[in-house]
Amino acid sequence: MSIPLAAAVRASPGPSSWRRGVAGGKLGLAIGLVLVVLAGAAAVGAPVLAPRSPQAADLLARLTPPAWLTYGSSYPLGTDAIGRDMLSRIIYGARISLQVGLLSVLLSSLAGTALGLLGGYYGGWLDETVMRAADLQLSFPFILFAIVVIAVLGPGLNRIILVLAVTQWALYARLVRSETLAVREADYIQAARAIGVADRRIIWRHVLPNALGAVLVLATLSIANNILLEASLTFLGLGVDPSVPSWGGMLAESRNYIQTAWWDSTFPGLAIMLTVMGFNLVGDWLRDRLNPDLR
Amino acid sequence: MIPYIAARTGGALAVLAAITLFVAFGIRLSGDPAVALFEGAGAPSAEDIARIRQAFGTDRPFLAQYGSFLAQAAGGNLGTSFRSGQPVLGLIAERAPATLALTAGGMLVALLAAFPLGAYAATRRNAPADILIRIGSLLGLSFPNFWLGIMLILIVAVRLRWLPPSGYSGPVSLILPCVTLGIILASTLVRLVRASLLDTLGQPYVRTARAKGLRERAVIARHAMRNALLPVVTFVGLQFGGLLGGIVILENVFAWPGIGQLALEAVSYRDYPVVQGVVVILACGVSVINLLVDISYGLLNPRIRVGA
Repeated sequence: MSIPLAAAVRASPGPSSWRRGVAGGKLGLAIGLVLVVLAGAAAVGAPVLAPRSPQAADLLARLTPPAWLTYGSSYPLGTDAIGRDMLSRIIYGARISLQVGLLSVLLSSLAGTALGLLGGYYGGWLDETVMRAADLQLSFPFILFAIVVIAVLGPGLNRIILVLAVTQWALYARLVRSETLAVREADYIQAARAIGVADRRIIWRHVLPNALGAVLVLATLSIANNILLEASLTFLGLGVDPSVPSWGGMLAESRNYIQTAWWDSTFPGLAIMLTVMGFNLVGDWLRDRLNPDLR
Repeated sequence: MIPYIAARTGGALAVLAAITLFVAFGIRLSGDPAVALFEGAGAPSAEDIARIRQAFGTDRPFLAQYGSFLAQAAGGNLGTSFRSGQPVLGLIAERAPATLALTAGGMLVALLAAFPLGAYAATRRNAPADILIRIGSLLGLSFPNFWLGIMLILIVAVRLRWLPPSGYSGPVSLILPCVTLGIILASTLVRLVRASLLDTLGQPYVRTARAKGLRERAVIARHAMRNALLPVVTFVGLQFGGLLGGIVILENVFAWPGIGQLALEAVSYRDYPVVQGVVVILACGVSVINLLVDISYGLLNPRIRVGA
């Protein structure tokens, strides 16, 4: 949570240095894709893949260690404080993480791209308003914004998605605006205008495709970032309802048993890390590949 | 230079005005504090409600309330906590040292780790050490910071029993939270130091320094590193807004008695004056730091001023 996305993007050492490295090359992409596909499969196939119900509590089996450590345990990753199967809860937890990651990015990228296109293409007061609003949004520290909104509306899945979408549209608006400005006066756009092509068609056919690569990179890295932010907020009690199995929520519950049940606090975090790393690796590769000018 | 400073200060003030307006408006939307006061204490009469509204000042138009909030805040009065009846500013002042200690400690750890590692990686580009450092940085970026904290507690405090797991019991309690914060920060910073140093190492003046016969160590320390510092310092300065999120959550993980914990407690008790006070104070802090970074950057690098 301490790493704002723009900073992570900015801090990248650039394509040339990564291309030969492990993290940005084909190997990185392959590892990233495998991790993303695994998380996606867990989310989609949860009812089939999970060995038990994520809510079924067995008080006699509470805090049972993982099966590979203890004779007689039938729980692959152990159980939590009320005897629920950790593996099944982690599999179901992928649903929350991916839902939040994908939906928040979809909403913010759509809104931000539309505003950035319009502002960049038409300029004038519209552009001025959008950019000042974006400046304001980006200078409001995320955690403070989240605290205020959750204090007022209360926690919940939809609110988290909303908070993430509202705080991040500005990143896309700025990015798309700068891409739009870069091509607005290009010869082929002037030519299209000269032969009487409508503005709407120019934006859709000529301006938007130029910006899409950059948007895709930002969106992929944002999914990773938003999964982290959701887990953090849920961990703090500002996120998803604790009755729903989510990785951040499981970590919050595990804290009271850290002395006795290390598996409760280890595996959900591992799930978050691997998923986030998957999206980060794919995003890094896309950035090197499309080489958009992300500042 | 003066127009540049004026423009930046004006921008910072506009940001603060917008943030306080948003916070005040949001908090008002969340329900009538007069009604909230009676929660669980039976149904109040309409007259009671009216009297309390008058006492809280919530019967006045929103803009009038916002105006008096700003006027009071400027005089150092952020209202009183619904829950404890204590002045909000006092509550924040009580918690501030713990948060400042955590922030400073985390920054220190990050700088001490990131500079040597970044420089080492940059000077041995694509060697195994460089690749290892970059993989480490990628791992650090994918780590949920609170989980890193939990894992450190699990290993260092619970298993090895070297350090206290959480709470505040003397300076040793600072080590784990600061190291956690430092590792997270350093994983971004190390990439930046490396990239920035690689950039300066390719510059003509570095070639000149080498051609003069200076030892490599002197070239890096005196010529390359100095110039590589500027973007890194700016980045560190502008990190505070994002850093805040990490601080709030690590205070929670380590039961650290700081401002973040105060805010979270206030949210769970719906203690709106405290939520409002903390958000306003922290937003002010971040804006002031950003403003100072902007201004000092403008002073150091005249080219930046042109765009003001």
